[in-house]
Amino acid sequence: MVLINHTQPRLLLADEGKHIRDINDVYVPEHEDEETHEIIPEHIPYYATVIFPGVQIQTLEQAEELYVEEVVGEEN
Amino acid sequence: MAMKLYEENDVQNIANAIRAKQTPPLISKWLEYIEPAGEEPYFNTGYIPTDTTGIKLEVKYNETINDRVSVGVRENQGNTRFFIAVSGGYGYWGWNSFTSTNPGYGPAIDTTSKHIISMNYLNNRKHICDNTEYPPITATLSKITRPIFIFRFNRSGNPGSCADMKLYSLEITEGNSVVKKFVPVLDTNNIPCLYEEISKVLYYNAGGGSFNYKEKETQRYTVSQMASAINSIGNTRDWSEIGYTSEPAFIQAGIDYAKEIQQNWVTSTDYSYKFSGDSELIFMPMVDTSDGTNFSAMFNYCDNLEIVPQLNTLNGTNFWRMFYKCSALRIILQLDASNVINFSDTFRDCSNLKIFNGFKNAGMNFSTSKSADSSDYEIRLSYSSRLTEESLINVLTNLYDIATKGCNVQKCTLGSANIAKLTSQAGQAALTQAQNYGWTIS
Repeated sequence: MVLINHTQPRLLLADEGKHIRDINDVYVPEHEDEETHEIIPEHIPYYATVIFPGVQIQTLEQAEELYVEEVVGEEN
Repeated sequence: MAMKLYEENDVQNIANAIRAKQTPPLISKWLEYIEPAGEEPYFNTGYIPTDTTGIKLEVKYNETINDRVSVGVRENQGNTRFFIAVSGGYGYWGWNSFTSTNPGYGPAIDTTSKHIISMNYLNNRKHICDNTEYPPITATLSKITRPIFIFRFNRSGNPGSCADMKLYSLEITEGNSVVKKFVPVLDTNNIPCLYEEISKVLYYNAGGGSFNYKEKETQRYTVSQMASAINSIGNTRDWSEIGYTSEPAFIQAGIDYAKEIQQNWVTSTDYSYKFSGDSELIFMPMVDTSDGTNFSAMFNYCDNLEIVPQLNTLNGTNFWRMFYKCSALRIILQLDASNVINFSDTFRDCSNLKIFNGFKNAGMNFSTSKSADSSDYEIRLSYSSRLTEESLINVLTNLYDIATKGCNVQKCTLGSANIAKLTSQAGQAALTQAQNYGWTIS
């Protein structure tokens, strides 16, 4: 994962063969809501190879607190 | 090629015009205001006032020193008059004679702020300026046979001196109905004029000279987008060309259903699940939702819903699944999100959404203590990969500056297909602004 700050917009790029997801964005299977009994569809994490980080993210360390990188095809 | 632009409720207005086999007026741009360049221009409304006629104008005066009538008519040299005017730094009204039955010199009028001035608006028998009431109307208006002019006084058929003012809008009412609503526009030849929204007719300068103007900052819809939208409804087509004997029944059924909703509409604070699973809903009508706070799942599973007009969501806090699985949805005008604290899955599985004017002030009500990348705060449009670049720019530029507010970074997930459309300078600038405002775009 590489953070590029000198471009406009700034970029957070995944390494080759990898992609990035939000560290909290994880797969959730379809299930029934216990209160409403509504079917909640499965949640598939969103992956990207390039993202445009908000101004609060200025270092790679800050980015790594929020995002993880995974090899394409080896998602959890 | 001139670009026609429309906004707000014109999706429905233009659709109605086409259904009625009318041609929508040739508007190129919406104006903030219009003002005379010189002493000659004026508009003739063609409207002759009666005892139940009212008028309201939104105006900013450039000068108030002379005895200038902003809008009105005088029947003859006597005291049969109907007008709103300024003079010597004060506003005053004419209802018959201004010397006897009107309140005389009324509110102080400055040249620095906009004023809303009305007389017998919706037959309320009141003189009002900026929400302050002045002595009421007690007399019956004498018979007038001439029409109301704007910017110049119709003095027995001849236009009087020109009022130096910026006109933002003007309404004429009859009884308790608005019968004419004028707003300034440019026609497709870039001539400033007034668009009368009820009859959908353009009114042009009836005098000499010309008007200056200021364009509205937000011009929302191009004609190609509108034409696409209307064509999708279908009424612009000659159905016989493709072997149909008449308009498909579902279109009329959708319109009839929208009318039914509009006629039976009851305002509420809670619109959650209001139309959930309603397959009959195709065209959402214009309704008053200004009291609404909870819009969660309002259109959940409305799988035939195609067009949603301007909804007042200023007080809305919850947009959770508002349009969840609205798979036919193509157009949504701007949604005010100034108070929203839950955007989760607002547009999930809206795969046909093409035109969206963005969430106004999205993030303005976010908490500074909320953790970064909150799922409640995530604006996710990755399910809507058909959005136009203009729509995406609208989304990005309407995001609130949460970084300055002190919030943690939050997500606006557009999806790779949408991101790839942001190739123009405006698109790149919108991305950069959104970043600088504290949003991570992916």
